[in-house]
This record gives sequence, structure tokens and C-alpha cells, in this order.
Amino acid sequence: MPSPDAPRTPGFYFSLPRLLAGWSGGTGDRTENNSLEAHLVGALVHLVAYLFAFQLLLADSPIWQLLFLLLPFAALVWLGWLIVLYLNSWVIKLLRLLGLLRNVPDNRAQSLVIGVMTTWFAWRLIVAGHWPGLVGAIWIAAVALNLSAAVVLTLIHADSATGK
Amino acid sequence: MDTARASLRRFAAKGVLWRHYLDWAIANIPFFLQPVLLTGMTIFFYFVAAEERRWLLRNLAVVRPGSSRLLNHFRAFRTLKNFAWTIAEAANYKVNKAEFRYEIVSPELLEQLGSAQGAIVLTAHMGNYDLGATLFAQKFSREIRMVRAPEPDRQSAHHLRDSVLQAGDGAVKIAYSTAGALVSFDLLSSLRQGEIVSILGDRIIPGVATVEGEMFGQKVRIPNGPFTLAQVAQVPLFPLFIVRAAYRHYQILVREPIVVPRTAPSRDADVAAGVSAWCAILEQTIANHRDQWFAFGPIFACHAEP
Repeated sequence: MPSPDAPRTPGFYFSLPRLLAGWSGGTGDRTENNSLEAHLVGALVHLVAYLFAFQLLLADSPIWQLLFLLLPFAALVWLGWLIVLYLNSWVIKLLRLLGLLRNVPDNRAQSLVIGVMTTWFAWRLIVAGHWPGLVGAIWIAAVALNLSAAVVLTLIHADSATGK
Repeated sequence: MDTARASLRRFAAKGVLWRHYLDWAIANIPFFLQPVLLTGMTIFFYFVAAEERRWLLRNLAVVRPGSSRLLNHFRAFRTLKNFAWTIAEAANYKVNKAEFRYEIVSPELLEQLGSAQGAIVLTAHMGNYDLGATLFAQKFSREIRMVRAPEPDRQSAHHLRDSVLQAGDGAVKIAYSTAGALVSFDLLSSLRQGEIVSILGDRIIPGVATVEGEMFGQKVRIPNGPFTLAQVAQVPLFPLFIVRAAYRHYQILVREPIVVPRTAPSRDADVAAGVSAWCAILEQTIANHRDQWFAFGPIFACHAEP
């Protein structure tokens, strides 16, 4: 619902910032209203995918060709995302037929599939070495911290639910 | 032949295909992927929607005289990006009932509008006007009748009407401004029954009566309808804009109401005074939120066909 009296800090979606916000006196409620989170995570996902595709298809190309293809390749990766998201929606439908993700909304389910895909891309970047491996390592570290924060948040909520 | 043409129209910039795609994308794409994908879509449409881009550039040249053509391309791109965000956020509200924040500038004027017995909301193709109508209807638990230019594509018109109805839980109704007098009688009747009617006052439709005003030192043609209706029904015109302030954050700007009396020796003189007041408000709002004025059509007289 639209709300005129919403707090100035809009809260967070991912577990790690929610946990940190909770520790520093915030509400820690889940929301998709944080612009910084949306732009930062989105940019990192796209960067990992872009570097992975670049390394996979153009790693051995001469430097002039790499520079020439930098922008057209970004457009291709963008187009690739649109196709991947569409294919993902079918994967999610298939998983639901198998009894999985039935109570998860479409965009949350996509979030999960994209998270798994991006982590695999990031792992391939690390394995391949060179500087893009650093971007892959940042992604994997962020995912690990976020998952750990999710576990802590679950334990905190379980504790407060049982009144401890 | 006609069937083939109708099928092709679905793919046009104003075709229904993109509206369906947007609904699908909003339901399926996580919020954190949307900023980059929307930027990509804006680049795509900057080239595909050539006519809209040309109108943006022409109108920008008047709003920012002496500005370089290259800079105006950047400004037009930013306007198109804002347009992408506003329609995406409106779809997000419709599909996911997503949260967004808003603040009201001059809330006392909005209260005045909310309690008015018949009033016209005069707005412009600026910011998120569809969301604004929904918001108003919910805040004051009142029905609102939106008057819009007819969509060039029939399927797009159906989709748009259904979207507005769904987002506003049925409290926002659409009427299309046409050359016929029927819609005017309907609106007059609604106003006399104390309803609120919202009209876009910054774009002309072929065949619909216009009146001359002045903005940015240039003559403009704007619709005559809202001013004549206000005069005949004796209701105030409330200039209202809902502009995008940040990510999922809007600002509702309400200005002092414009009254079009029947006092002058000529009714046209009263209408002209109302038009002049509206043009001054619109000019100021456009100057403050230039990158949110979705001027995809002619308004300035200097661009009129000879």
C-alpha cells in the first residue's frame, strides 16, 4: 500500500543488511524499497554474468577486438538475460509440478534460481583466474555472509517465537 | 491484410505486447534486476520509439532554448528512463501491490479537493498520473473519472482500462476524450453530481477544441474542455501533479485552485484568464521537473503543421 508516513530509511531485502539494521536498532523488516540495495546487487549480478560470458566467448580474442566488442556484448548479455528469465519461468513451473517452490511467489523463485546461476558464474570466474576472479570472489563472499545472516535471523526469530 | 496489420501493431511502441511483457516482467523479475533491465529497455525504446523521441527533442528545444542538441539527447533519454520507471512502478503496484512512499506538498489543498462537491483535477503527462489517481481514490474513498486521449491501439486501450480499474480497485474510471460532445455531457453530469474528474491539460487531440496559451515565451495549444467544463459546471480546477522523487518514492504537488467565473463581458475572457493561470503553473512545474514531462506530442504552436 502507498504510505505517506513511511520512515525515511526504507529498510532492506537481503538478510545481511537486515541483520545489521536490527543490531543497530532498526526494525529489520523485509522490504524491496531500498534503492541502493536494488542498484548495487543488480549491478553486481549483471557484472558477474557479463564477465563470465566475456571470458567464455572472447577470452582468447585480440585486445582491439575486445575493446570493439565491449558495448555490443553488453547489449547481447542484456538480451541473454531476458531469454534466461523467460526460460527460468518455465524451470520454476517444472519445479512446481515436482512439488517444489509451490508457496514461493514467482519473483522470489526467480531470485533463487538467479542466485544459484550467478554463484556458479562467480565460481567459474575464480577458477579461471585473472582479475575477474576478484569480482567472483566478492560475489561468493557476499552470498556466504548473506546466508550466514539468514541463519542468524532465523534463530533470532525462532527464539522470539518461543519466548526465550 | 487487415489481420496482418493488426498483428504487426501489437509490436509497435504503443502496442499491447509491451504492456503484457511489462506485467509479466514485474511478476517474474526480482526487484534488484529491474534497474539494469529497465535501463536496457530505455536504450531499446530510445531507438524504436523514434516519433516520441523526436517530439521530446523538439519540445526540449523550446523549454531549454540555446541548449546543445547532444545535451538535449541526454535529457530526452533521462525523460524516457523516468517514463520507464513510472510505468514499471505503476505496474508493480497493480501486479504485486508493492509498497511505495509519497509526500504531499500543500496537504491542505489536497484535503480541500478531497472534500469538494465536484471538481476538476487538471494534470499533465508528467510523473505517475495513473498512480496519482489511484492514490487519490484510495485516500479519500472517492470515485474519480479520468479523461485520456484515445489509445491508437484498441487492445492497448483495453489493457490500460483494465489496469487502471485493477490498480484502483474499481474506483478509477476512464473516459476517452473524442471529437464528439457525448463525453462532455457525461462529464458535466458527473461534475454536477459532485464527482471528481481528472483531465490531462497538456496535449491536444486532433478534432478536439483547443485554446491558445503561452509557455516558455511560446504560444501553445491546449485543450479547451477542462476550462469550459469548469465554467459551465461552476467547479474549481485543481492543478495536481505526482512526480517521482526517488526509487518508489513520489511527491504529490497540489496548486491553488483555478476558478473560471462567468463575470466578464465575454465568456472567452474568463476562459483565457483560467488558461493563462494554468499555463503559468504548468510552465513552473515543467521547469522544476523537466525530465518528467512526457511530452511525446505537439503542444507548442511553432511546431504546428503549416
